[in-house]
Amino acid sequence: MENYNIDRNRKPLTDADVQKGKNFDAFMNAYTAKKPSFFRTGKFYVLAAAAGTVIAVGAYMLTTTSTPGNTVESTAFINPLFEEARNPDTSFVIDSKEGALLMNSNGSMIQVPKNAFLDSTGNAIEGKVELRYREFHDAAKIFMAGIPMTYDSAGTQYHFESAGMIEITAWQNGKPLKTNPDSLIHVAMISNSDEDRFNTYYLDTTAKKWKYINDEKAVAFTLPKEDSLSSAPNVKTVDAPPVPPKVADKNKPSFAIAFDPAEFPELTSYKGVRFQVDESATPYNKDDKKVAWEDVAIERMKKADVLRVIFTAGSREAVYVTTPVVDEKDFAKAKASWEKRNAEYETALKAKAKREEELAQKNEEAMLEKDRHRMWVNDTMAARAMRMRMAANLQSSTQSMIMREFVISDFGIWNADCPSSLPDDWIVNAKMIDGTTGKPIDAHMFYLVEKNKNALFMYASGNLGQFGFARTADNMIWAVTKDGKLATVSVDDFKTATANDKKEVTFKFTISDKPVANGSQARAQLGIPDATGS
Amino acid sequence: MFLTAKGMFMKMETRYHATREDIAAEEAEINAAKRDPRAFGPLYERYYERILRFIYQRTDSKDDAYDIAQQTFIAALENIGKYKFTGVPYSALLFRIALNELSRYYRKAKVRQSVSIDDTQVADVLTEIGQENSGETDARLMKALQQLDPEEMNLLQLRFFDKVPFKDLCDILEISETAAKARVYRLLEKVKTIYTTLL
Repeated sequence: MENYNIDRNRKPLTDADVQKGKNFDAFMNAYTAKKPSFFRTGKFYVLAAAAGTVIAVGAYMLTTTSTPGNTVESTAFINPLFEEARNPDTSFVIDSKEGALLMNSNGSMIQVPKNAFLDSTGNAIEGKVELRYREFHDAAKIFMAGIPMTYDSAGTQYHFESAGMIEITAWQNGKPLKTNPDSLIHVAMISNSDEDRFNTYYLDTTAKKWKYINDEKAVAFTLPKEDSLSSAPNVKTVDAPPVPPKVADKNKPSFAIAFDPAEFPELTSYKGVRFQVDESATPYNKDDKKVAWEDVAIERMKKADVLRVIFTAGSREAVYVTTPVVDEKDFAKAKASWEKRNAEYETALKAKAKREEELAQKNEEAMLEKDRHRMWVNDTMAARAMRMRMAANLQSSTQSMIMREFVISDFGIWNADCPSSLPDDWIVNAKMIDGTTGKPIDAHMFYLVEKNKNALFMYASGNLGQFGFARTADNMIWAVTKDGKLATVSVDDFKTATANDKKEVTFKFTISDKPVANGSQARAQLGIPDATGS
Repeated sequence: MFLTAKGMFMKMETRYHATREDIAAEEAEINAAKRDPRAFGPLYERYYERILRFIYQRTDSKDDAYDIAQQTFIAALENIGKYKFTGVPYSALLFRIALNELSRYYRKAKVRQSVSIDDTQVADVLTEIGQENSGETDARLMKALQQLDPEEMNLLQLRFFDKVPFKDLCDILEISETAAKARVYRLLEKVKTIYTTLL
């Protein structure tokens, strides 16, 4: 009996055969079709039964974000809380033919190569271009800007946790420009996280969804701390300069004393040195000659050839400011000796200076070499960012800088994100009410925010029966009412409401008197101060 | 993949073991795919051709090979969250899944397992069992192969038709290299015994 169908010398697949089957998009469609979607799971039907508005809730969760009904015209996709929340943080004007390396106020870098811009028809442009730029590093700014943070991948909805997001656009004469695929802009964005769990995504506002970008550069890199050059170590010290001899003035008092030549080598240049008193500084007392002094000390003063001599005997003390001198008969020899010693001194001094310079240069080279090894050999964005920071004298940073690089293939919003599921540590049936009136909050969406985490977990108003959160986190809830007011539950109020581990929780909101008009007002209520000045 | 002068021999790419840098990069890709299924793209692009050709050697039609290859990658992506990176190329898992999907296909379609062999591969096996290559020995070997069980046939295909090195074989079969060598030795002994009894 034949168990196998043996095929002899069959022709292998051609390259065209392989390409016919190789289609990742088709594969993902097949994968998604095979995977039960949120709509088809039992979980969804339970929720729907509880909410009573099946299709509307589901569709709303997947395709829309909250739509504040304040003075901002709703675009149904990106819905800022107030008009100002659309504004860039900064704008740069550059010459499109020249390009530029730009630095944001927080140290993020934007490398604009030459000819990086095209007009709407795909033609190269000339002249000045305005580059508008902003960054998002906390949940409050993301929320205020109304940027959707949900992501659908293969039928599963995720909520983004962001390690930093940017919006970059280019304009000329009020018209938006496009990127030039042959000359792409790179952005090295300062990031709050060096974890490698973040991918790169681009917000496709036409398709109204986030697009995963396979980009290795999304991995965070760290700029090294700027090390200061260490002082030149182990340079041999040079003795104090030898004091030039002077001939004693016979009319001025002087005296000879024994001293340690090792301690005063500058005085050993010549024999028979005496100490001539400067009577303008310290009058000479002849009686001091008769005293049997117990101890004598010599101190150098500011001038090299002026020495203070201190005699002591018990509590008695005599202090003289003196100049070392020699008798006339000894002067010639003393001078010769001094000249020799001085030449030696000068040579030693020059050698020391040279050694210090060599060591300083060696230290600098070592630092640069260390940086080169830590960064990249080629002229990468990180290296350029580092040099620009150093050139701008931003050397006071005590922390390593974490940056993430985006290659801007399209203008718009770029994000370093980690897709997350809704927290499910503790799930409750949540009631959202006005803390003052007790009435239910009339909002489409409620956002669970973990303080210090850049993630907005979105719950539709019909999905509050499965309101999940992490009990150990500092949780807040934000919402925008249908009449455009900001409704919030603070960290403390959240903890109060959930203190007893019950499965039915009523959250009491604070509601703004009127729609918020600017970032300061919003942040004050959201409880997240602006750490970046944006 | 390359073609020998005889034109019909397909050698499976044996670069299972890539450089450390490649493997580290692959780990990052796997982790990205764990977070986001769409990030599975690079792994799919890298291994699709190899898996498809591997499967085609074991099926009767191209359409079946396309379907089974798709199922292989779907199964891989469905289970990527559980995948534990151990420094072994991801391809080892994909080949394992492919073999499972093929088994499932044979059972479901109620068809015999297909084995694609060319003359060079037959000659190699005959040499391994100490036989000259002739029309008679060729025919006898084909009969002998019919008496192997599916697991043995898979091992024969991997080792002698696909030319998978032992180091990579043990990754695919999840056994030690010593165990892989022992299995291959026992397999050849069995083929030799069956061949001899077919006199």
